[in-house]
Amino acid sequence: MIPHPILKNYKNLLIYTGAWVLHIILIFLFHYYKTPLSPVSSLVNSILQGVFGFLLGIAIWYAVLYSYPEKVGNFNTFINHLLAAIIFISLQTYVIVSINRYFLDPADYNFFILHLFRWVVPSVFFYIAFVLAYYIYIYRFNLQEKKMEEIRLTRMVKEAELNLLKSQLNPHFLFNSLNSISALTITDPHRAQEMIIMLSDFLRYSLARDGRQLSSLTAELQNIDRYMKIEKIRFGDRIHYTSHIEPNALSCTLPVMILQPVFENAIKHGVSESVDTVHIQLQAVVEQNYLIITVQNDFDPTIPSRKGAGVGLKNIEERLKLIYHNEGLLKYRKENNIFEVKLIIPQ
Amino acid sequence: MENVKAIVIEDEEPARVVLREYLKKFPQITLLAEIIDGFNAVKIINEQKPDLIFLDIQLPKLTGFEVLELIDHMPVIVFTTAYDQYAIQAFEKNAADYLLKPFSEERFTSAIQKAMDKLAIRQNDSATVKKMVDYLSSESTLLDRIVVKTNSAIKVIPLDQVIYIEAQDDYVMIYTPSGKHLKEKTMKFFETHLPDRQFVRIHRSYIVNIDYIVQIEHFSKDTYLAILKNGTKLKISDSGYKLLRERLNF
Repeated sequence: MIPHPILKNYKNLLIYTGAWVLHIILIFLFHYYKTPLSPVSSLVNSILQGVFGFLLGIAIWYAVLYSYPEKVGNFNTFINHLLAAIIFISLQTYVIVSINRYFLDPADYNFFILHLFRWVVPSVFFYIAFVLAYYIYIYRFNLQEKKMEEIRLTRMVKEAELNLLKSQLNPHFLFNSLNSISALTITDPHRAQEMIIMLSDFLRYSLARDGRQLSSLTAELQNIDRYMKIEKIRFGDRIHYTSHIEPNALSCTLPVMILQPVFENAIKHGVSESVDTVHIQLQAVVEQNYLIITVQNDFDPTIPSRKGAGVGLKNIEERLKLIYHNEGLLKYRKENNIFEVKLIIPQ
Repeated sequence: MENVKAIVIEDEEPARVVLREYLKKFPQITLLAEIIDGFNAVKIINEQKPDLIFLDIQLPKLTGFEVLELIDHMPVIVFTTAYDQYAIQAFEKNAADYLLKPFSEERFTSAIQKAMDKLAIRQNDSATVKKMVDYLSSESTLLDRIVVKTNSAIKVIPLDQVIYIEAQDDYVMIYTPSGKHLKEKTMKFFETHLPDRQFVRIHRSYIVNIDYIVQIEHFSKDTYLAILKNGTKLKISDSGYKLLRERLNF
């Protein structure tokens, strides 16, 4: 429901009242100097006209509110306003004429009746002016509503996108890890328990956050360590993971769970496609206002890659774009048998 | 059935541990080998001709399904996989048994039971397996590589190395810069499973990689020839010419 533009606050009502008072004064001066009406007749007339104009202006709002083209059609709107104008103006004229007959002396009354159009014509213009003003007000109001709605929607879509992009847990990883742990229960029950706790901590970290949240590099690396320890049970010596981190990089922030998909990618296309040891190296440095993280892995170049290459990386790129409003924050390249992903995180 | 020869094809040590452990309860099954990649799987299955294999889908070098495409000897198969909804459908439809990791000893035992029944009635699994592989390839979207056997070695051909494919009765000949390879598949299969922005069936007998076409030449009234980078000339049929025009925008 759109609030009444005049009655919605005192300020507007005051300005509106002021405008009509000014109007009454001007009409009075006009009658007094430019017509043969007596001062009393002039005063009565201008006050009557002002008061009715005041009321009419407020009342027209409802006529506008309940009949506008989008709702009832152009023709009906026109008819409605025509009828409303006739009723409003006839009623006003009838009341003013009756009151004048009572207050004005015969000469003034005759003059008033003779020049009745001077009272009726401005009312028609007032009516039209008010209707137009109100329509503009309603359209602006709706437009603003729409804009707000649009902003709300884009924000919601972005939020949803971010959450979707935030690494959905790969079921392969989950079931393979559980299978590895099931094997450990046979060979090394104590380690099985450790790994269950490791997996639980990893899951908690992955699930408990939304896509926008930032985390410290320390926390992200801790999670990567868990992830790599779990994968190490599966792949054993086929994984060799090392990291070199500048001490001042540790307190830098980055989107939560942004590194895990990079490692998942390295494992999927490097480790799980090779029978030899694959070296995964992480390097983190701070350059100017950027945290630069490089992850490298070797892979078997003789095996043409299968489907799904790059989907995980595209997701990360998209996420970084949504969070930092900046393109090109993820770069990757293949050289000989090394695959390198570089993340550039603004601080 | 006495003395069943089995092979485990699985790249993850813990998964092999579980299989080894469960297999201890079946003295009639002899574990001939444990293999950790697709290439060796093909080689050793062909050499040792096991009765039963435990086959993982996700393997280095070749997938479990690609292994099945390449072996000459078809054993009874128990698939093991962690999560592959789409493969599971294929298993269910074609009655081969499959184990979803992690699996219990009871579940493993019942899979062995099924495998034993199959072996006992000497029912060769190859027909069902072939059906399943066909099902998977018919359902799957597009190929991203082609596996072929050359004498004793296996070759994985990326699509950009495929120049053209020629029909040869029940087989097709795949031409690459480094040689040609025969494969037991139909033209129809390749027509529908190669990305159509790169491959066009220009003739009943040819599917060509458009990146290798250098020129299209008038041959006689209404017939054209495609001239490829390596100098090969291929006939283009009427409908093939239309397709080419659409694809190449001329």
